[in-house]
Amino acid sequence: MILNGLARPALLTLALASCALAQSSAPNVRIVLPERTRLLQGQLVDLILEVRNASAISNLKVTAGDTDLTSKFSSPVKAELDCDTTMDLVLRADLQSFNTPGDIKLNVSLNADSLAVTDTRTIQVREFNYNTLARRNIILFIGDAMGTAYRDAARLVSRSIVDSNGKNSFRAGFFDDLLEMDKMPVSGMSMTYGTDSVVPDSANTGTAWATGNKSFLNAVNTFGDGTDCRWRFNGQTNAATLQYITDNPRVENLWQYLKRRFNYRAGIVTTAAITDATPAVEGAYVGYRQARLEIARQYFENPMLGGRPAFDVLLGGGADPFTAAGRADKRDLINEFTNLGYRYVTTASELRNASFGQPTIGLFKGSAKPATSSNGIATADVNMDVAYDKLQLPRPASEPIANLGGYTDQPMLDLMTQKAIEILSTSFSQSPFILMVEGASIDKQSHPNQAAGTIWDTIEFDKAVGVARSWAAKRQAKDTLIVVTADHDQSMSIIGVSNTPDEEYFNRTKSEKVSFKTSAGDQDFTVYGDSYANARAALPFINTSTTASNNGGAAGMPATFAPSNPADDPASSTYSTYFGSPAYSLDSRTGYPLNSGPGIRRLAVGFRTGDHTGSSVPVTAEGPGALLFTGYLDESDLFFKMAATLSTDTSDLDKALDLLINGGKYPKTVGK
Amino acid sequence: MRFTAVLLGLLCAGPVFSQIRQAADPQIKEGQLTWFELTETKQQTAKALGMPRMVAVFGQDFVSWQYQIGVVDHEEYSHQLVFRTSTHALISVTRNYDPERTVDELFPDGETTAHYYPNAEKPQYSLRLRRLSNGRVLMAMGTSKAGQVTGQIVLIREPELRYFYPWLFEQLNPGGQ
Repeated sequence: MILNGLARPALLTLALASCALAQSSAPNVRIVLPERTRLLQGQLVDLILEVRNASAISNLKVTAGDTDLTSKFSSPVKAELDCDTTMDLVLRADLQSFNTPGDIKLNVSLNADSLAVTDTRTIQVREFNYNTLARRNIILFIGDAMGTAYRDAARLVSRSIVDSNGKNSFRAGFFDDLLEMDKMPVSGMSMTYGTDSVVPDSANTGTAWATGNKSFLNAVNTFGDGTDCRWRFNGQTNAATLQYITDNPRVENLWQYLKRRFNYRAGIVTTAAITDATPAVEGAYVGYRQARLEIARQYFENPMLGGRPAFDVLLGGGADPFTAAGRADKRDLINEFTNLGYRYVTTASELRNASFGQPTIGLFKGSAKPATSSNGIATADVNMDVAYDKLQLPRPASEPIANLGGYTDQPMLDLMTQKAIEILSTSFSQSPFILMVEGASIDKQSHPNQAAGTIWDTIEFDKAVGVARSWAAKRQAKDTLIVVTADHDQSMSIIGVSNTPDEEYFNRTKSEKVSFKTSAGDQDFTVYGDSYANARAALPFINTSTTASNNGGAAGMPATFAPSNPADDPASSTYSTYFGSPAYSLDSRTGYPLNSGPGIRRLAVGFRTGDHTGSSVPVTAEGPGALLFTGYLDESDLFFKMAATLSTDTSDLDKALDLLINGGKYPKTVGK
Repeated sequence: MRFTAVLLGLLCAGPVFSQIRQAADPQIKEGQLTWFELTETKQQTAKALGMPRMVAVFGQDFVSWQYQIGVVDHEEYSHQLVFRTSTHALISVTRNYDPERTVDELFPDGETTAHYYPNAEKPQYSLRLRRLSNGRVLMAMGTSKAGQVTGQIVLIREPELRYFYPWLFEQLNPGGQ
């Protein structure tokens, strides 16, 4: 029978549909690993097999190349995968590793209810030969959401300083002195996509740079599995679903890998709650980033380290999940840490006095009355206060007034970084160390479009980078790799400068309502004088570049803050403008720019949304092996490149880089 | 039925921002609880709550619509609605509260039961449950008695508990009755 052109595709579609239907209800087996799983030699990973639509299995055989792994797997356990009514089975071989580099073919075959089924994965295993002579340190700086505009903003604000003679350190388009992270010799760009999203979060991006593998939104060093439907996307994240949040395949991060195999000392420093996603990826393994009680427990009893603590130094906010009052299990983890010999500090003053190698936990902010959340897996999320507030600078009118809540002696990030390095680098064992330092509120202040909070946090972050660079430069052995990057981008952009006078910028009594119509009705916003210096996403951001724009409407902004005459001198305008350069004065007491005072001309920024973006983010690097970080790279490459600096001879790269920077033959950027 | 009437009223009038807020939370009117009937179509749901911020397919037969209505933490969603992909039926509405709050007005003593996971002897988790008309149940997650705050209420078709809360389904239907 000859099918005509119309009938053939229709039948084919039907046939394919039937086939898919038959396939979906037929027994099958799946190796629960991503298609492009990449591991280091010896890096631990859970191997999990999901057998669907079967009540029993036989003749299981699992091989990895020539190695038979069958005996490593548990007996099958009944499971209800995918939240359907079929009978399924799960087999686990936890914390396995591959010791032969190369592409390893993982083959699974079994009889599921007497039907023979198979699955395969190719796992790329990268060589890791630890260089015992080099014994290098790694310091990774993560500016959370610190895309290019955030670096630019920090530079434009902190390096446009007018001195007492009226000379601006940013003149005619050049800076006298660039940011610390600008001065690092190697730069690249990191693509940050997740397995399920173009726009990622700090958990799955952290999983990429900490383990070398990509995962889904909210995942901390784990891959998706068939029980995720119990909690993911339906919001059922609680103590009753915790078993499904913690059953995902885990993949070991670089912190535990180096500590477990080579006795590295490990540290995390953050201005967020210490169990937030970015620090969590160095010490925990859960499907859902907000399972804070479990993350805190794993910091103390790390599954990759046989139940030993994950870190020698932990500095940050968020004391609650470590307290007996905050924990559902009523364990006092702070007390348990101190019983193991950890020093516990809670203020900047105490931290200043901490030195030498004693393991240290510093939790600089928490709730007055910690309590377990009603979901049974978390507490209140208490981050440290942002740099702008710790510096006691007045907030612009649209940003909330600082409330330190009695925590008036919180350390700045540069002090935390300095002390972490001191503690980690002075152990009796003389072990090398790996440290992550996070500027967390670059992101957290960007979500509500709080420009001042965001920019000053980026400046604080850069000062911490400076501390590490200075420490590394003073060492006789050039043995410390410093990498500075972001986990993902946010939506801020540089839109010009602003002449908004202080009396408007800080005036909380002068505001106006802006209303605009949407399909969901009228939406109202309150705008203040600073809102035009820092155009917020909620505003009707009218594109005045062209009347043909789809954003067309009345050109300009609402009346109250707009100049009455466009021809007015920009110096009397409250508009932001392309023209001119920023001008700030320096607070000699703190070393930070002031955001007020005579002659100030502020950087103007705009926010397109209040959320992350999918844009790539900059990477800069310095130290042995830094040249590996050049070019466009995937975020998961950071893991392998950091590992490569410890396991390979990078001297040729380092010589080439030295020639490039110090050889005197090649052009240099002004201010570097 | 009452909410359907309210919802239809919203649709006829054309949704406005204040009406989205009204649909966002259960309402008590003249002593009656009105919220989603779980018979709403996707179109009706979109008109009541607006378009979701994120749509995600999951499990074997589910799609989730996630909303951020009002002030919420950026990591979380204010509402998570689950439809079956095969039938397009709305099966559950999850409403998250941050900060947590009491919802006692939705759970009158005589109509509310407390349930414990895995059991009442060694509870690791609890919820209060109220059966509503048309096979719906409303749950205050993480609470066991009046006066306790919750971060979440869930409205769900009772048969669907089988897939998302098998322990609760078993307690409500011992032996699969």
